Amino acid sequence: MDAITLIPLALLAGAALNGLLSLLSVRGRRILEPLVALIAIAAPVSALAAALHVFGDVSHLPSGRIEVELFDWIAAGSVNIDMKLVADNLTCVMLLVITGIGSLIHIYATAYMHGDEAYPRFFACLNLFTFFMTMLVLGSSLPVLFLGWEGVGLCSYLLIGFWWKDAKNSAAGMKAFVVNRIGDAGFLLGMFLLWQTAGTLEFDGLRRFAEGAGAAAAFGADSGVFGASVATLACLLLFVGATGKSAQIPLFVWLPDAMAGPTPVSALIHAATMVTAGVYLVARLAFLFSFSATALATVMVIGGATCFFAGLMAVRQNDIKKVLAYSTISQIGYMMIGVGTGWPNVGMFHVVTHAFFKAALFLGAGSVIHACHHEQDMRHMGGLIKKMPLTAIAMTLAAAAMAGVPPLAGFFSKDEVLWRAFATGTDAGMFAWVCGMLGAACTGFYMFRLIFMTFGGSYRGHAHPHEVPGRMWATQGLLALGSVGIGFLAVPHILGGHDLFGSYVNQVLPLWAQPAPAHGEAATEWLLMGTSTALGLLGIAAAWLCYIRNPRLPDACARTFPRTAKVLEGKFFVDEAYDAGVVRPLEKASQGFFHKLLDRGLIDGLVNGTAALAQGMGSVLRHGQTGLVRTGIGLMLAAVAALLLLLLG
Amino acid sequence: MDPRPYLTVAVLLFLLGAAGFLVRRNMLVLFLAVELMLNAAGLALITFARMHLSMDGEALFFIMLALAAAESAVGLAMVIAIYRNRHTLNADKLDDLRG
Repeated sequence: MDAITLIPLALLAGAALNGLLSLLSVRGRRILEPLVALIAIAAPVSALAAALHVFGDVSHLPSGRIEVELFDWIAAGSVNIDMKLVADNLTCVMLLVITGIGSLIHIYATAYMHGDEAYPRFFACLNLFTFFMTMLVLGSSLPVLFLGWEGVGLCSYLLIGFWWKDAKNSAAGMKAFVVNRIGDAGFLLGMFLLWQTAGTLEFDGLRRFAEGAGAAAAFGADSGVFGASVATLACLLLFVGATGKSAQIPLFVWLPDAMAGPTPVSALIHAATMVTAGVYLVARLAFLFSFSATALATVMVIGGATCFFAGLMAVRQNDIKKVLAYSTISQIGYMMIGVGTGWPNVGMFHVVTHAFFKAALFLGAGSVIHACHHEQDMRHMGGLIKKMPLTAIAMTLAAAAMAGVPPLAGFFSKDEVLWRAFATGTDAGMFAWVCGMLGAACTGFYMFRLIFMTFGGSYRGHAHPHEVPGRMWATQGLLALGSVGIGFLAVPHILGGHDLFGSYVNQVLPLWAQPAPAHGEAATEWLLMGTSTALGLLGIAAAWLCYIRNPRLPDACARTFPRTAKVLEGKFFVDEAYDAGVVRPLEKASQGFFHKLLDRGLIDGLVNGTAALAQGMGSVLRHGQTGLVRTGIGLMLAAVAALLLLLLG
Repeated sequence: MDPRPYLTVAVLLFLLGAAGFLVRRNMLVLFLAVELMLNAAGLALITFARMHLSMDGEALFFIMLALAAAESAVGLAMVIAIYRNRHTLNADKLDDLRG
């Protein structure tokens, strides 16, 4: 069997086995945790081995891609969709991130979830999630990608509501699902439009169509919607799907609530892999986006706005996981800016570095929560560096990497994003650049606010924190080391590097679709790099001032500017606005119109009315049925007599 | 030959049987009434046979006799079975199919 098929298959097998054990445990049988853990870890680790094999193969093949056709998936008339797996450079990057970081998080989770009553179910879902995620990146066409896309959404729902006995958790799961469905509607419409235009949904076929002679005319034609061209409309519709999955404005509201799930879930799904699916989608279709400057500009503007606003929302959160949730939204904003520049490698590199440091941070946060006996409020933490030094070091390294401290990973990836956005020279690029700069300052501030509130000062809680088991600090330590070193994969030319990652990933983008190379003076690039780093360090310094040097300062600020503090704490009241503007009107309409009028009135009325009609007629006609022989015979005689009269008379 | 007197008797016999069936309650009497109607039809058959100088009607009447014998055997058996179960032969009490 091909290694490429083995990747999803191993994970699916893991999910099936653990699912089976989960069923057994529901029926009251005791399941050995080590057995479940073994299956759960073996699945992603063997997938990782297969992914490494595929990575090696792809690098050696001159075509740079492996294709395996599994079976005909949908064959209906002119629509023919194959279940086909394709691995090229872009896929390999995603595969290694998913299976590599996924394996570490699986290992961590086996310790973190120790003693949970639904231990097998958790790992069945986690393996299933990883399976769908690999399908998402391996799919050779939009429908196969969509299969993975929906699958990860489903697993995300299952895992957010993992502790479903608390109604709040189930509600959070449903919110994530519903918000994602809104995005999916856009995705589907975009897919239909592409089918109508190009007659194929295979990435390869779309690319060949785009290279063909009629592509410019077909994509440039007026779509009839707000005067947008077909390419713009298709890209924007697909991007709506991406904003849902990747938690961008305006569909980001589900991600903070998704923190209701167990922390390893937050690390794997809501930080490292699933939420980057939208970025992957735009990177995968970069050749399509190259037809529409408007779509690229929109991606950059949305990314920039999300990056800055989510960064602001993070600065007054007290729940350690909420800070990380908003920071994830903000960082995905950077990735969107990156792919919005037209260069997939820029956004993708931030995906990779972010996967490392955000997974490390989430696992660290999980360890802290674990150690503090499920306390998530940072106001009841502090001084933990003495109690759990290893976790503290790992988290600080990851936080520094995210804040863009050179030469850690975040420095290289974020700087590349900002430089490319600046170098586009467009208004959208400048807007994204300004937002990204401000976001960098926010990042430094909120990350080190988290570090200082958690590990600095003295302990303010009532539990007895202790260092976590070896499996837990080892995995988060490895991820922290990764977030220190991974940046060297893409050292820019100006720093004497060769941008290995960039040239590797950009092989998937045909030359004709590549934007004009960034022309900038070295001095400008140095200046930009210096400014963004300085802003990040400034944020860190501000956090130090506010939370170590003078802990009374934040409250004093909040008292001086009560309105600003309230808006920040309320996260710009986006949730409230959606509640008032969308959720409640919808609820009212559902109750008043759909439920009372349509469902109860019309549909129930029709159904019950038919029954009532039959019943009413029956109650009249039944009187004719006396049950006496005499009546029957009498009627018969009368009828025969009448018939005779009619025939003879 | 004038068939009218014979047919008149047949009609009277039939009406007598029908009226009996409709007004009486005892199942044995109902049974008698049925036999009356059957024989009225038989009389009509023979009358028409005579009228057309054909033996078909008479042959049919013999078949009818056999049929009546079989019918009364089955019918009487049912009457007995009903009496055993319900201890009554009042047809008005047997109205289980009333709506």
